[in-house]
Amino acid sequence: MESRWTWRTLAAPGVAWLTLFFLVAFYAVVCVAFGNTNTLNQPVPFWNPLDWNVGYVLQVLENIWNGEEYLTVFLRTFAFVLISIALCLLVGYPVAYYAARHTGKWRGLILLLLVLPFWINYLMRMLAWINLLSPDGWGTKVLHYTSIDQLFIHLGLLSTEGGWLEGQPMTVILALVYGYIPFLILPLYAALDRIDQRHIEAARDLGGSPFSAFRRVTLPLSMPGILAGVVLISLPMFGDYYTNDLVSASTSTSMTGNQIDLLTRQGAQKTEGAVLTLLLALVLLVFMLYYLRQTRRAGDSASRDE
Amino acid sequence: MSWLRNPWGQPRFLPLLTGAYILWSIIPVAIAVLFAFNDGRSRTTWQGFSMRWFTGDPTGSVAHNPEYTAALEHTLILALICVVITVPLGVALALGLQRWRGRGSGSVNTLMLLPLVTPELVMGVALLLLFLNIFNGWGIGTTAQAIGQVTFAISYVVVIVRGRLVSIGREYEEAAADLGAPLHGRLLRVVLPLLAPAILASAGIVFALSIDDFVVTQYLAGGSDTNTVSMLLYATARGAPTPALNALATITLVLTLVTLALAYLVYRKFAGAGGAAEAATLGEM
Amino acid sequence: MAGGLAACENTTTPIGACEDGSGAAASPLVVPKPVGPGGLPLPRNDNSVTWAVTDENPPIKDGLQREQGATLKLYNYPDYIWPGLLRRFEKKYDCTVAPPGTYNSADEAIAKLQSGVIDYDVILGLSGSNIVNLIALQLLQPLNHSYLPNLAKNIWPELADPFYDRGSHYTVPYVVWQDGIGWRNDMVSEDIAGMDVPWDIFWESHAYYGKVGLLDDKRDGLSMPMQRDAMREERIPDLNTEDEAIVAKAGKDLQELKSICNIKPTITDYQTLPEGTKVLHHSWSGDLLAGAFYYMPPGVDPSVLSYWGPDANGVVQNDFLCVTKSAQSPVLAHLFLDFILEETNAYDNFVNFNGYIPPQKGIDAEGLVGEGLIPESLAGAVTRPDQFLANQELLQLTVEGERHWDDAWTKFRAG
Repeated sequence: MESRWTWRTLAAPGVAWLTLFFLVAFYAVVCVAFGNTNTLNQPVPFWNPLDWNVGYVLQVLENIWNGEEYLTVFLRTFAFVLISIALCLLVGYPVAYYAARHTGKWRGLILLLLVLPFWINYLMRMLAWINLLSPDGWGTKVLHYTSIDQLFIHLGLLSTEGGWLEGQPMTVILALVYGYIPFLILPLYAALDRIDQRHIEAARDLGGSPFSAFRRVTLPLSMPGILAGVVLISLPMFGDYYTNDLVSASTSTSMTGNQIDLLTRQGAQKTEGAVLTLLLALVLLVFMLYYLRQTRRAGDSASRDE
Repeated sequence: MSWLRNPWGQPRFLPLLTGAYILWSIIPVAIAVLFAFNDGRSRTTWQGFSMRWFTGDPTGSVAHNPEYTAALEHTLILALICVVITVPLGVALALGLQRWRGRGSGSVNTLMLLPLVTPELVMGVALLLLFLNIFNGWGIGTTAQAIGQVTFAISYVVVIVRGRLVSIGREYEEAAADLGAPLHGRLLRVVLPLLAPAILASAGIVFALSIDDFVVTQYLAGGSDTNTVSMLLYATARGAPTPALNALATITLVLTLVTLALAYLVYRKFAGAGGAAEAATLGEM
Repeated sequence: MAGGLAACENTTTPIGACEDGSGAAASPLVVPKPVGPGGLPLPRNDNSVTWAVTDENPPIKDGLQREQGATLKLYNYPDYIWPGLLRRFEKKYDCTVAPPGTYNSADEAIAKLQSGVIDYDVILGLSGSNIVNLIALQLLQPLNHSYLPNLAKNIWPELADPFYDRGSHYTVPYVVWQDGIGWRNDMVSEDIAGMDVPWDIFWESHAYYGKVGLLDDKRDGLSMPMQRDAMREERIPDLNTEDEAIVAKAGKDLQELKSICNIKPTITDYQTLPEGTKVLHHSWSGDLLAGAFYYMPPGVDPSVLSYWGPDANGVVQNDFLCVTKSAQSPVLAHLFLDFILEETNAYDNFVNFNGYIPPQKGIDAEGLVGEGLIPESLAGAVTRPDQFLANQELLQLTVEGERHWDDAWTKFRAG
């Protein structure tokens, strides 16, 4: 019909843009990380791989190897992300399940309400919690009247009464959950929605209880969706710095994202910042590639139906 | 207790949990919006209804605060620039990718999906270093902010438009080709009109994405005239601002939601039956 | 692989710097003085520096008309200049002053300015800790003193011709301050001023967990434990030290505070102390006065604020205003500088909002204590010219030295 170059030409501007402003940008990070600084503390990237200077990279790696701050903060970040994702799954899976399997007339509305937080500015959602958890905020008052704050103090999750926003790891974790759970619920919903109801009915017909039908049919079938969703939200969570800055602003809950932000944007150590960014991207690369493989499989199957 | 245990339907705790989740999810924001209309200076004590923080108060309101209005203006300008550049680029890329046969399509596809999975901080640092070391003619500032936003928004357009391309199939195009229409005619008069709902929907989504964007916009910000609403929210949230900040956030919230509602309605009206499948594809994003 | 790696360079010494921090082209007959960024000399009390005015960067000509309908752009700390003063300037010169761009720490300001985004006409709030950065990055334009009659007329002689900028070729002073401790005397029971080493209060502040603050600046913040150690050992500290061990120890001392009182680096003590959300803060003296003048919540009397600062061997410093090289409205910028140096304007800025003492000959800040404008508890927050002699300024260090402070501070700030 048309030459095979038609479509490549159409795609060319987009490809050029992404190459220039995405791939080359990453190359810039690598070259700054393997570069040097000048006496004005400005980063000097080395563009030729043969010139690369491993001094700063080794310095950061040494810091990590010796268990100093880059490692401790990364472990803390990892713990935050792990706990947050566990909580997101705990709340998100049942909600996604209900939305997917519900066949009533409210389905559209429920879906709408689940999608809504997706489109509210993340910072506004955190601002809402800063208002609520400030010392005279409604949230603090409610938590005080129901004595939940006493419970948390007792469990060691809160340091002082009313100090929700003063450097509490628990507040950061709950804020991360609040912030990212919509991004988990939607993929989970999509995955659960695709499960054919007849599989479940078959399990029930064969004499299984609702719970065993869930455990042996629904859960395994939704596992790819769970994994995809978990990977999808863990990526931005690892690079999150603003959540901590907003609900805690304390050095004791700082995350790897805060370190990178301090080095590159708030300070003048861009070379070290580039190294740390590179290392973070490498760690997350595994997750990114996994997710890409999953999406491509789904995309391929969709286009094969064409 | 037996009410909770419903043997033939779902366990009743599910709707309860979902209801509780939805309330927990939406109510804090609703309260923040509520206080934008507070009559007093407090953001925690309700003192009556008033529009003073939007336009009334001669010193404190959004309309009279030059910093806030400048930020709002800049946010909208950036969003418009972003849409104008991203949508054509993304549509062309989607068409090209979808029909691309042969070598290279896999890598291009991966390249297109990469911004979706890259943490924004990594992108922010990468773009900052790019504009400081390679494109220092442009430097950081509005141009850089626009370029950064386009870069991660393209992928959304491509995914949406591709989904639509899949569902409309190639019959109409083939019919037009059989009738002797040349390529550009087929594209302009058959494919693009069929894609129109997806194009408009993705324009709406890119607009909303741009307004809500934070990390990339902050990293590439130059002087104070490149502040956006998101950046202002970040900078002032922990201070002691007045409800004017809530008002500013509410304005952008309303803008975003209206845009998305319009995009959704356009899509629904023209997309018809294919809509549900595409919604699922979107959810997969 | 190892061979490939071995072929790579492996260094963290900046390009253009010598290993020992001294200038490259030093004559063997002279003991070399330390140099800083760009190989420029580091100003010290005993090593004053005159920054040259070159032909490539000449000052504006005399007698120019100010730019019409211009917008003046400032770069400043947040809440550091009275908005009323800006409105007054707008009226007087029929121009607009855009809302100032802000930075939260000197490091952030330099990071931003380094990236080449100089869309500002005037920079306020930077000091001798960063002057060499500014000159080395060639960010400033020399001042034409024919537009600045108030400098010689009104300013303390010591600061009208400072050692870090002899002849005031590039800067004029803004305000002066001292680093000390600010607290709420109604919420903190200890008699901080009466302690042997008042700095120890931070390490004994567990009762105020979550309500203690530290200055968010790598030099001020790290110098605090150094002053504490020196006071305990009754010696004079070197707050411009480049000794890695001393700086690292200061960093470790600060890290102890995280578990003791969950200390937070902030610069908003002028708001949080009056509000009571912080009760103890490492403060710039002017913040306490700003809190007393402007930020007290209704019904709270300013006398609940207290301040203590060391008599000697502490930090007493001034900051300055300067005009950027790429200023769009340089004449207006010069007029702005002269406007700030004018006595009434400086005084109004001080008592209405800013809280920091302007180095004006005609302002008797101590008299304000007598008049009751400044509460007795904050009498120590008034900085006098003679205090400069007994105290130290935080000045720019060599590249290696700055790096030690950067490392220690990063460890504390995000570790």
